[in-house]
Amino acid sequence: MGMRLLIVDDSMTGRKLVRKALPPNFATEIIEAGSGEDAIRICASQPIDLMFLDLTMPGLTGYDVLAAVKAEPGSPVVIVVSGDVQTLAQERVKALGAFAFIRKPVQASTVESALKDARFL
Amino acid sequence: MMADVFEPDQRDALQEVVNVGMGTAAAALGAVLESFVSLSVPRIEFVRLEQLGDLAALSGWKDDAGCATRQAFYDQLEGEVIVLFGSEGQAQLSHKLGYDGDLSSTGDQEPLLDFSNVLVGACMNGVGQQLHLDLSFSPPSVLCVNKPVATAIASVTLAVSYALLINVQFVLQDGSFKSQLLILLPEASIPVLKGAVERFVESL
Amino acid sequence: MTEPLTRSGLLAFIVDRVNVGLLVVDADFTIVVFNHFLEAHSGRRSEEVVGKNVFDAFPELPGPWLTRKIRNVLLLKNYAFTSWQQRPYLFRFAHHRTITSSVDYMRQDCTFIPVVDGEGAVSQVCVVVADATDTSIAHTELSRARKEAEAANHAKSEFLATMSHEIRTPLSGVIGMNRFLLETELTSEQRELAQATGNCAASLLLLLNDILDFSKIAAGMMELEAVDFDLRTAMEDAVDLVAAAAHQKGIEIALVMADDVPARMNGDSGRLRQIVLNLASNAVKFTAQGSVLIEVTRDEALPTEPRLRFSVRDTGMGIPADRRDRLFKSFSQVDASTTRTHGGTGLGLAICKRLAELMHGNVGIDSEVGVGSVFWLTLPLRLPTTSSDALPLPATDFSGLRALVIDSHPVSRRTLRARLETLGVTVDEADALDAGLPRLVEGNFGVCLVDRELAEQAAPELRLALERSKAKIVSLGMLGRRPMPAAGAVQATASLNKPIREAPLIACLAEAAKGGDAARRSQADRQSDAGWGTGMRILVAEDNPVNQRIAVRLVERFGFQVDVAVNGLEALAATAACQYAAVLMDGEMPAMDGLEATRQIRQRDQSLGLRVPIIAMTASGMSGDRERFLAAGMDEYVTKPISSERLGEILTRFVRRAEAAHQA
Repeated sequence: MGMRLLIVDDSMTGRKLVRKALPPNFATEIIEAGSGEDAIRICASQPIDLMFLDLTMPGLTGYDVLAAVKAEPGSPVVIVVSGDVQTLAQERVKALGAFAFIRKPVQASTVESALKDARFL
Repeated sequence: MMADVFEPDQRDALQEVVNVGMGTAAAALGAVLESFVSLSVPRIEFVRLEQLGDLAALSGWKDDAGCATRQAFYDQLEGEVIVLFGSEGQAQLSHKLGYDGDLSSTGDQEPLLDFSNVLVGACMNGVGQQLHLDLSFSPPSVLCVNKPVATAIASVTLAVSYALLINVQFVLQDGSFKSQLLILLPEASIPVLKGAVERFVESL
Repeated sequence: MTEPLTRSGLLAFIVDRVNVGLLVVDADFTIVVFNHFLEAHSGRRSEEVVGKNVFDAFPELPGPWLTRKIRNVLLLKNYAFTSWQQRPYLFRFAHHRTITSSVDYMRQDCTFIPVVDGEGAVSQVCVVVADATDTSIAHTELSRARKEAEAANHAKSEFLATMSHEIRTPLSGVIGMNRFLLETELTSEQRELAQATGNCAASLLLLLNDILDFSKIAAGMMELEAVDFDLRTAMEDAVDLVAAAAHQKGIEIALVMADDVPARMNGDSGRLRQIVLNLASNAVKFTAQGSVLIEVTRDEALPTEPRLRFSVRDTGMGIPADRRDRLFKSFSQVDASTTRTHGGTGLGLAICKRLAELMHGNVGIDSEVGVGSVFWLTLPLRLPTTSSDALPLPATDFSGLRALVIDSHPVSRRTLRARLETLGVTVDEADALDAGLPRLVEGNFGVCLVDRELAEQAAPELRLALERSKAKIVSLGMLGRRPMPAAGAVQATASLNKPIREAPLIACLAEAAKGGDAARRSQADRQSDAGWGTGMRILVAEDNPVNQRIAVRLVERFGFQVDVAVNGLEALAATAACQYAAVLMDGEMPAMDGLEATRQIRQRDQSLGLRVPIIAMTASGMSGDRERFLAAGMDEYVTKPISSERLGEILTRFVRRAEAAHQA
């Protein structure tokens, strides 16, 4: 069974940084979305196992995407990635169903431990 | 202007680096103010300037009364940051930082300076860490208080060539106030910044 | 036998003996380090206080404030600062300057340094306490001195502003009275003296206005208007005012406005005109030969705010780099000798700079010695608040029209070419007649715009060339220069006065594009009310360059072609050579005055059965004047300053109706 991964961030650099922090050969397929709208559409149209989600995006924010995606059955595991690490932000995303919260700039070690916690590793 | 100095992917990288830096700053402010601080999505603009007065007009302040502080950074990248504050919400800010009294007299400019020190330190250090540039800071100082921002800082003439303008709005949990960062870079800093951004992009 | 210190011994010595206070506390505010500076100023020994809570050891320290400060450093792991200006001191220490200073306690600048341990954690903070008393003393004195200077300056400016105003009243009286004097019967010697008096008074008034403006701005009493106005008109007006001086020196002057510059804007048109006029007349003053080009473009340096850039480019002597800074400061000219040769207060540029700043703009200069200078002004562009009621100009796309420009002045050629091309015209150019004429014959040009002086030099050849081509000829002349073609010279279809204004240019092209003799144009073809004079010619006889310019422009607004005479003799000759729709005649002119010229014109034309409407232009409108004018043969008079409405009304009466009657 392959690992289908979706990376959501309006910044190309941001998406690349997440890719870079992934363990080698982790995912079978990596899809990138540059907007909240795209992310929701992709989740609705194909099976995604794990999603890395940026919070601050123009248009639909990370919070919006999280709420929308988690409302559907069979939703992917969501790891929120953000520069804004305030407690309130973390609580909010957890309440909306996020599995974990990772601080930007993303580091390989943090990603690895989150993946272990999620039993993907 | 941006297009002259940075390639598209470098621009994207710089925007992301700044976003992360501002996120760090928001978190720092939230911790210090013990209040939730949300910020709008920072938009960066890179412009050439002839005089500091252009900046204020540029950022849409014109004759709104407000305050401005400045703080220099040096070591592996050199420049100065100007922080502009709107006059609304300053009382709450002041109170949250642990001060009483208004900001018009000299002795009570401390909250402004503290706030700007936290903001600048967090943001610039955030940027510096990502781009692997070590930064040190000089003490902050006040440019003007409760005066029409554009006219007040127009009287400070500079030999500044470029500015990285970051438009961001901070909102406190129980009130909001306008704040804006202007990172001023002398001509000599541009190649340094560009080099750092290039290395960052290559490492992706 | 002395032993040097070990490295750690050295560092410990420095920490202890450096002349700033060093205090290190840990996360529960226990004192860890307390150096000699602090010992010496507090009178406490390090052994006494190390290990104690800092607030217990020093109860007078500001508890809540210091706690917060240190906690933030531990939390954020970043430096924090305090300046004596915000908080005079942390520790209440004596400063030991009591003999010479009255400051109570040492002023202190403090820095809070996060102490980072081997694992990157911060559990201690180092507080650096520096003596800033000397700085504070100097600062206080400077502050006081500055306040005194500002108060004195302010008082002076207010005084100047009031006084200037008081002086202006009697001076206006002198000028007015002198004008009346010039309207009376005077011997030629008396007239000369009176004119000299008038010129002196006028100069004095200009000087006074400069001083008044300057002191108003300095006293913060200058107010700017925010009104919608037509930008092109304002610029054309400003350039016109300088044109006479420029043409007198043989300097080409032109105005080019970029396509993306809006037609109207909001602001203070008078002050904008003042700045541009000042920069332009400065350029003319300091340029011996060549050209002065005024350009208006959009300034895209700031993406979020549109700005306009007004630049005045001259081919003058240029200004060396070390003198450029002084230019915009008051009372300085590039070198003192120029003040004597060129005159002036030296205030003009300083006023420009301050006005520009009041408008949230900038002025500056780029220059190259020996090549020339560009004086520039940038302003935020404020769009008009209401839409324009002005009638739109007639169609301005002349694609399909081919034009040949023959002019020896490169700046004129270049700017005219740019403007024609904007209007869709295909342009060819030549810098002399021998190059241009063959092209005129071969090419299929609809219109040929030729510099009047060139045309006069080679009239016969030009006429020949014209007969062989189908082009209409438009002559371009400098305002104020002798415009009248000598007998036998080529009769142009139309003439334009440099600097060329947009509306007459378009009217000219419209004529050329449509073809046919303009004079027989039917009234139905005259599109806009404002251009009803299109196709007709008027003569303005006026010797004073400023008044001449004003009269010409006013007449041009109605669409007329305007010729100019500078005295009665020229007026006489002109009216012989051409049948004008009307003549605007000034009263006193040298060589032959207006009244005499009118008499002679009437006498001459009577036998031919012609009567051209002659309208007097007079500075005063006194009773008895009307009779004098009518007696000499004039039909009507306008008083200066000429109002557009009055002129329009008179021209309508004498020209339009006559034309309509003629058509009928």
